[in-house]
Amino acid sequence: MRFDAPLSSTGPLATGPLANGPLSGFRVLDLADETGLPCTRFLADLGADVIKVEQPGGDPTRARPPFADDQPHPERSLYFLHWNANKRGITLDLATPDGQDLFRQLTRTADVVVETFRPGTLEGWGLGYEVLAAENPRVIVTSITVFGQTGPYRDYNGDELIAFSLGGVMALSGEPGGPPCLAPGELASGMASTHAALATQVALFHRIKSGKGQHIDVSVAEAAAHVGGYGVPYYSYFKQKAERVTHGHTSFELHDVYACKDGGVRVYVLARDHWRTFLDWIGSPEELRDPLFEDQDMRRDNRDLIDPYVQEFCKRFTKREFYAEGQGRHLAMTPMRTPGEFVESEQTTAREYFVEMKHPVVGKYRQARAMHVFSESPAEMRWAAPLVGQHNEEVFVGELGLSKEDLIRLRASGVI
Amino acid sequence: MGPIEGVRVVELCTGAAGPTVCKSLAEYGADVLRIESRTRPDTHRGGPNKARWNKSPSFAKLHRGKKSITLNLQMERGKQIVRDLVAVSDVVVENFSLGVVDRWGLGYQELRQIKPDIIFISLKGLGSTGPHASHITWGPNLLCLFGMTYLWNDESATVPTQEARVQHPDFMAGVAGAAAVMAALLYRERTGKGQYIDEAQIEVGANLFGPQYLDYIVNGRDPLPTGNRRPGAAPYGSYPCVDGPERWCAISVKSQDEWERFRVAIGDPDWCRDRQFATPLARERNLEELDRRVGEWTRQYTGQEVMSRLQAAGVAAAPIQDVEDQFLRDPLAKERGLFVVVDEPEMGPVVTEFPPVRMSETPPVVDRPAPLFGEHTDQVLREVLGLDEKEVAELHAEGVLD
Repeated sequence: MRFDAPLSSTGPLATGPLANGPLSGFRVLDLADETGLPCTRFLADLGADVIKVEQPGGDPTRARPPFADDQPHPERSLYFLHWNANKRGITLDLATPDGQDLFRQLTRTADVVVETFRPGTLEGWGLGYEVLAAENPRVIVTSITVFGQTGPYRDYNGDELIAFSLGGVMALSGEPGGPPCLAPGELASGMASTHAALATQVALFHRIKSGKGQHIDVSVAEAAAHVGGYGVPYYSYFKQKAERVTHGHTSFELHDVYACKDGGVRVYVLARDHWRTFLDWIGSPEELRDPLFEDQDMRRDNRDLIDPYVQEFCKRFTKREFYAEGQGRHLAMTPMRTPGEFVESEQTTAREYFVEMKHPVVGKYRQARAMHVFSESPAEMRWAAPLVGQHNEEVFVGELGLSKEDLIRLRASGVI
Repeated sequence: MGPIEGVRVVELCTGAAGPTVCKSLAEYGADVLRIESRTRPDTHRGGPNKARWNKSPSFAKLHRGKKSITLNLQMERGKQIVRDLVAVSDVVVENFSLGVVDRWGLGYQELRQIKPDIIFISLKGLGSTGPHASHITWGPNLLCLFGMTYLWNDESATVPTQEARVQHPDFMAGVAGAAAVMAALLYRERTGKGQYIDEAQIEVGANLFGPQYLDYIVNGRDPLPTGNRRPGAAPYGSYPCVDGPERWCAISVKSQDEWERFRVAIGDPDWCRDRQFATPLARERNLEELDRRVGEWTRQYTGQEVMSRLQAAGVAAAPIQDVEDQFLRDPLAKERGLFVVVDEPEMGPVVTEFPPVRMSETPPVVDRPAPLFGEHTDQVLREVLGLDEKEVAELHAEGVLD
């Protein structure tokens, strides 16, 4: 898995299609912001020809930090770089009649449109689902919005924080009595995008036999309710809800983080035989030998008794030592790593999770590859995120058949 | 008639991530055959305690719409039945510890001999290759390993973490696995080829942290926790509400325009005009004081009231809902049908989350309960494998169907 496409200083980056990817041959028009980017990156990684359609001047997500060398610039956003690898990029002002006409033409060549505008926005531009389906009855339009296309909040303002807050997990974060803390990594958008990638492919599969496209409506706030665990069925059956528990004084709550010599380690003891092995490892203190503690609920009820032993024990190790010793005993013990420590870790390196890429402005760097390793149709990293309007000529002239003069006119009038 | 009706999936799974792959496919019409063991019942089935079998809310969430077949995989005949099922199936999903299905003779290399175009996905915490492939990990272990636990914290943290106790990335890994299977099904439609898919659950979780890793790789800076701070946003985060010490709302103001609307929506109090809150930079610099002032305002209302007042002015706000709020008070969940009630045979009505997806032609369907332990064993042996009643009775007598 290596990036080795020729890089010319004068022409565009080589962006030939992945011939043998799982989704090779499908074309996706990408109108997605933060809430939908993981969906279109997923489709691009698997070989779909994803064309990112940006507003003239560049997509607003190009303003998202961090920036390469801390220099804010549309081609230096590392956020944009991560989410737009393997895509081509064009610019198009969808608020103009020419922009709308060109988008309708593009829709005729596309299998999928992924969009994240507030409901009604595309309709306002004459590009709603009905119009696009009339252009191309086989097209699948996947809309990913915070609150969905229907319902009481349809026209509300929202983002990752708002969606995550409605979803139930936010209420379980943070310390009791303190403000709940937003998860890093935009989980709600990530979950919505993952469901969207699944549903979009289900629709492509359905289309093989039916010949029909469709409109898919994904809600980020609803997706947020899918991130967590079993709170919903437990509440409905037992009428009990989970409460926040303190992490401040580590409590033997099955999977706590404990301080060690150089950071934190997670101690996860669930099964009976894991408890026995763990007890043996920490030296079988007299007080903890009671077989009653083999029951998970008993351990939880007696955390004040158990906890000091665990705290004392963990302090003897570095993160690495604790990880090696714990896993050596087949226990679910792991170090609490920083992002950099994950990048540098043995397993990450062995699996070539970070792949070398080249970008005309950022230069050589490594970035995370596709999530899955396919044996027959590898999801190869092909090229870095497109520059602003990098493929305008290739797409508008080469594929839609506009003349170079048309292109100049459209550029001059700000359509592209 | 689901959109992927006719796709048959053999589930050799434990825990949550693998079962979620199959559940997600079942929601679109796949015929999922879950292989279980009576001698080693899954934790979510209720473990060795028979009194808990068929009465597990988590099992309901993970297994709705599937069929359950009990087999003793210690016996050669039990393994052979799995091979016979794979021969007439499209997909195998497995997430046992590394090497287990190979020891059973049910790994990809064996099964592709039986069914050359089989799509076989293995889910492991850390993947199926590499020096740590055999490590024992649960979701929360993975969050520690890829940096999320560390980052889910305040800037000035003294406690280990602010992380919620959730099973992430299990469910996301399950849905992502289903998406990968769909890609392989589309590829098979085009080429006739099946394949092996290696999913490391940690790599699904880590995918969302690409920008943070790039900050380290490109800039040499290991990112620090940021709590509820996001650049360019203030007020932003959690604020207290009137109806109890653990009642909170969220507000997100990300531009000067939104700030002006926020200011008006809260009645344009004098403090809003203070220079220390006049510009985005000033507000970020004086965030503590700003949060205190905003909290004084939100503390007069419930989360729903804060949402209504601010959203009326076009400002993003919402209550921070717990599961009870979602159930009893959330108009979004109610009107869009986020929750679905299905009668479980031995539990009565149990509510689970409907997929966050609506489709104009082929919507997902959740209308069947989770299977009782071994509920479909006889049916599948007869209808799928064509065994007669006498053969099935013999298999029962020999203990093959335990």
